[in-house]
Amino acid sequence: MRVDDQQLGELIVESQDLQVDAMRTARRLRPQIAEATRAERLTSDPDAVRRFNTSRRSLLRNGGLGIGALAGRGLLGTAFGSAIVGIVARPAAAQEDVSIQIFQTAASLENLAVATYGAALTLPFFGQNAVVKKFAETTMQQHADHGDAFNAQAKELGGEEQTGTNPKYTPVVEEMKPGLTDYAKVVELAATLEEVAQDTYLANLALLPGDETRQLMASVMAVETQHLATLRAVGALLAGGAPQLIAIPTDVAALPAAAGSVAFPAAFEEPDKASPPEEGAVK
Amino acid sequence: MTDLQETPTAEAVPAPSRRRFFAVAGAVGAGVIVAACSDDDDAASTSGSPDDTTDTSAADSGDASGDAAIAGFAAGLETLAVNTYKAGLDAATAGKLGDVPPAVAEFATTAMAHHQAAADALAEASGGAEPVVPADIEEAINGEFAKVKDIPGLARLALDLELKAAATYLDVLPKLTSPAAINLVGSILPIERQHAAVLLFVLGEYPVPETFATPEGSLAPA
Repeated sequence: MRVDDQQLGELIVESQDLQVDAMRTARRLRPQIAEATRAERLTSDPDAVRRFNTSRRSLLRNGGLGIGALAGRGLLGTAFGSAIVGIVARPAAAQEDVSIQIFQTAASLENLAVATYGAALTLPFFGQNAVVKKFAETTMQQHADHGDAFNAQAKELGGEEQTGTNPKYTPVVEEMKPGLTDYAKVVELAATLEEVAQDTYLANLALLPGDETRQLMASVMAVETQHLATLRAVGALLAGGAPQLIAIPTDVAALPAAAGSVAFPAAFEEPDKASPPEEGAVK
Repeated sequence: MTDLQETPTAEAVPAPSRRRFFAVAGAVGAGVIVAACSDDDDAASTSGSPDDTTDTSAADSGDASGDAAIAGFAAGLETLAVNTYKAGLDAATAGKLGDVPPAVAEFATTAMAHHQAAADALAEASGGAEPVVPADIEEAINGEFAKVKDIPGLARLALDLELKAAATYLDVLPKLTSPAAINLVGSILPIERQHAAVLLFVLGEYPVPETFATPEGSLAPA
């Protein structure tokens, strides 16, 4: 395995600096985000509360997440599609906790990602490739930061922190753990979790009426999708028998042509693995 | 997970055409963005809530003209990306950029097709007008392209474009009002970031350097 440790270390340090900057930005935005959303949601003006809640249902119904649209996107039979139909059908008074549920479920997915990368790092073979190991360590920390941001948002909205892992996917991970005997299997599992997170956050965008709140969700989605792309590329290099090319820097000339497209199999992402808002909510 | 030995070509990528996208996405299309204010689908009848007859005002349904204008601007950006990748491929084919690794050629071909699909979808979302590339942005990108002498230089320019497009979408997402527009832009943003991750890897850099994406670098008009 060819790894330029010094250069990789410098890149990781640079990446960590960027993370510190990003966290600073997120911390600065969080009170504004919370305030904007809370002002909409928790106002003492009953008419304002009603407008906020009916606005969400109107958004869902009029512009693209009605039954016809859900069917068109292949979501009608999914848990997410059922949840949306349920949200639309709820009376206004019963909708106030949807934003909290969205952030708690997002936190549950982040917590599971942290736990999964953490477990992977304890596997006996996992240190063999320095790049993969660094990726797992860095990605685990990024997910922890995402979870913190989502939990802070849930708390600011009047909800509880979600400290547990996602109830739907935790058993799946536990079941797969004994079979994680090589990098390829770990990468496949991690890619699945990243795709679930990406799809969930994509689906959440149209459910969040607060502007800055939506931006936070999109901001995290944009990072999960890069994790996913990287894992797709790494998985393909492993499957193609070219683990030596999983290096930073890599030998670009030696990369197979497919390495240039395998990380993005479609021109648009579809939220077909999205988790519904209540899936990981605190009960 | 796709096996590299399958060596998929750009043609093997699920056709990112406008027709396919709208067939799959259903309401996530242009007409729906424009028509969102008046298109009340059958979910209303499922609700059964008395409130449902009272919340179809234009304000609740979103500012369609704003969404359409944003979609039109974004279509211009995507068209600029298509033109830039095409110019890069033409220069590479003409031997002006030195040796072209197969993965880089594949990347450029695939990314160009993705941007064309996005441009088509966004143009339709804006009401069907031909995408117009903002002149000042096009001039700046063309100026940078003129300096490109090799493949790393082209990759660096492509990375800049991908990150700026993604930042633009992150910037405009909170401003969009209809779910159709939000879903369309939201479904394109990840693709730009995926392109960026691979370009960073090709350039010898860490593929996910940020913990949170920011709208810094957005090209959207203030």
